Amino acid sequence: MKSRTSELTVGIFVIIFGVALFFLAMKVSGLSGTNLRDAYEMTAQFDNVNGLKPRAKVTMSGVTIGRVTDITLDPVSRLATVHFELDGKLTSFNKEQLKMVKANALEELRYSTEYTEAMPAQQKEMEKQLVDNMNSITSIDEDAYIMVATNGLLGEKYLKVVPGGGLNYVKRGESIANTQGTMDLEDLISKFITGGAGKSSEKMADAKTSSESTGAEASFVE
Amino acid sequence: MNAIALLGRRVIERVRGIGVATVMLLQILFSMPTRLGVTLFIYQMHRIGVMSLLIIGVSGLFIGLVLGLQGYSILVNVGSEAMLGTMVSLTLLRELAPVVAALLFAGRAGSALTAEIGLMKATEQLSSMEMIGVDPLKRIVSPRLWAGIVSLPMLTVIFAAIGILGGKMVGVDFLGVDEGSYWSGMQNAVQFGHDVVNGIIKSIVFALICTWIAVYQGYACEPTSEGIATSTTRTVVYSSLCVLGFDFVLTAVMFGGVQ
Amino acid sequence: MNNQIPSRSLIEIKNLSFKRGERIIYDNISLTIRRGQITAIMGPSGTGKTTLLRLIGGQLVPDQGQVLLDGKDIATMTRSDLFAARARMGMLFQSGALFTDMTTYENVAFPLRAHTKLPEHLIAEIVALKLESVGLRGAEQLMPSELSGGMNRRVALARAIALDPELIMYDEPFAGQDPIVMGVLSRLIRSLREALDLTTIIVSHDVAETLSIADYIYVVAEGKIQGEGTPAELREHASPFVRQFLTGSIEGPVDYQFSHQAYLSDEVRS
Repeated sequence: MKSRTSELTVGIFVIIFGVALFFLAMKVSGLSGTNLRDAYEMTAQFDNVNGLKPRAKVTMSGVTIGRVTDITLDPVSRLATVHFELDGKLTSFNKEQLKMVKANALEELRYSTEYTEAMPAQQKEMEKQLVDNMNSITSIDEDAYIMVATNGLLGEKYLKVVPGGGLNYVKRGESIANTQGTMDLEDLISKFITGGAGKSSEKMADAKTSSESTGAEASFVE
Repeated sequence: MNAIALLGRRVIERVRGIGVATVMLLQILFSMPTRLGVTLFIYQMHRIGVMSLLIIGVSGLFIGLVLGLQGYSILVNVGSEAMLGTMVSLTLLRELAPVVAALLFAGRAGSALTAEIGLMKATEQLSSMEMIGVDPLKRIVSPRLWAGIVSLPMLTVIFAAIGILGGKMVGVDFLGVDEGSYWSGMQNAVQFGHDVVNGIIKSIVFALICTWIAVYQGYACEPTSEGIATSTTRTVVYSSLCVLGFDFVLTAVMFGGVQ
Repeated sequence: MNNQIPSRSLIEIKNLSFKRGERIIYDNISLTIRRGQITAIMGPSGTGKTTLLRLIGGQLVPDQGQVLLDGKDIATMTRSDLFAARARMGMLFQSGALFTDMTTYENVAFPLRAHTKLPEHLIAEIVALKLESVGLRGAEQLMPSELSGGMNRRVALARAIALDPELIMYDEPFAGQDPIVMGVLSRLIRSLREALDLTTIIVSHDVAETLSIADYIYVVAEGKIQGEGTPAELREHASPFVRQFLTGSIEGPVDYQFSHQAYLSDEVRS
């Protein structure tokens, strides 16, 4: 019973195992990568999320900014509610940018009708409110829309955030109002038949506040 | 009528055997470790785990290479060779690593265990140990059982890691798949909690099955040379069948659900 | 242990019955092993003589009847009692049964390590002593595979007496040995008995050697005791079975012939 050599070899065995496990965790499953830095949750509601799965990526301009965490069904509105996590580092402004955004927003506020018609005290209120809102702001503006897109021709579904042009930004934890659900094949075909164009991207839901997606035709293949 | 009676008796014997084996297993699993037990356990880890490293490593490498090769040739037809990383890693982590490592283990370590314990029984070493007052279940069987349960999952992880590297070698270095897509595709598709952990859970189940069968067959074998041969064969056959059967059940439970 | 003067019998077997599967091995037998004596249990091969030793050692439990060690029934002993009882017994198996993955030293030290907490240097002393008494001092570092058959048995004997037991059991010690080894073993058995006042049980089917050293003999066959007595008594025994067995002749009670075949084939199978 050679105990000393056994202990040595078993120790080496355990080390090899540790290295392999570490490799599997880091390089293979990207464990570190899924720890989104400064993560925060947001939601969006869709009329159709067919094919979208949890852990699907959320991108903006092609950059992965987060992951889908949960998909539930709202029994009242019968809309699919998708919860997703976004990486704060990628979707927040740094100090200088924040200053500029604040300045722009304040300026716009001052030009708005509500402001000019308000009392000075109320104006101060509005300014303060604006600045407060800026604290947990994301880089997703209020005109942006989020859609279910496909990776490649037959690939998996993911969420794509397309920025709008607005100067007001959505805060963390809020909902993205403009959504576009999955286009099933049948919908496409019926659109094609009933005179919808093929790939042209028409204007998205104009109603900022509407939480229902309209039958807007957006290209579903990117 | 006689044939049926014989069959019935055989079945009852087998079932009773399983009962005895279960009692043995529970006795071992639920006893406290002792200082001596730990020393024996480490020695068995060497005999069972470390000595299997070579076959596991080499097999893992070859399986990874083949997966890379086959995977590429299939995926390239549908233009998805960038998915090679995903394919190789998921196949290995979910199925091939746990199952193949367990089958190899049953063949190499399992049969050795059965033969060793069987020979000890045939040469009355187990009896004499009992007559001296030392429980052979604790002294001989228990360290080997624990060593098997602990080393197979470790070997499985090593198998998977080497296999993935092998796939990379073939895909990226030889066949020109983009290294970035190999790893990033993999990282996107593989979830530690779902794929890696489930694979490890599978290997723990297999480890329990294979080692348990090996040890029991040795302990219960007929104390003749013919008996040892029969028991050793039984170990390999039963282990393999159980591994494959349980693999199906586990896969259905773990990966069959709606995502 | 009781405080009275120890009785003359160390082991008493009362009305023992034991079956293995369908086969009756022992059918209501009773026998006594007296202290300090060499008691032999003889019979044809395959009658389950080893089984009797196992019953005495507590490895097997009788279906009926009792095996009493110093008056206490072995079958009903608690685990710790059984453990202590086993320290008082040594057993020498037919093949020696040394642990093949340990050295000679480790083998002989095994019972010491199991039953005592002696420090290592004392264990070394005792091992040296025991090996000396079987004439194998110097073989400590050899592995069992490096020893000849006879040496194997002697080391096993050293192991069996490592704890200075009161009882020692030999399972077919003379089987398949050459005459010189048999002579050596006989002498060892006798001198051990004298030196250590060991109660000895020998299970054997070798008539000549056993008759030469045993004090009392039981002849067991077909699950029953066919005859018993001192060697002298046995030679004059009336039972045809015993006569046939002792002389080794083929002729005798007819059913002996028939069952002899069955036992043989049984033994080969099991």
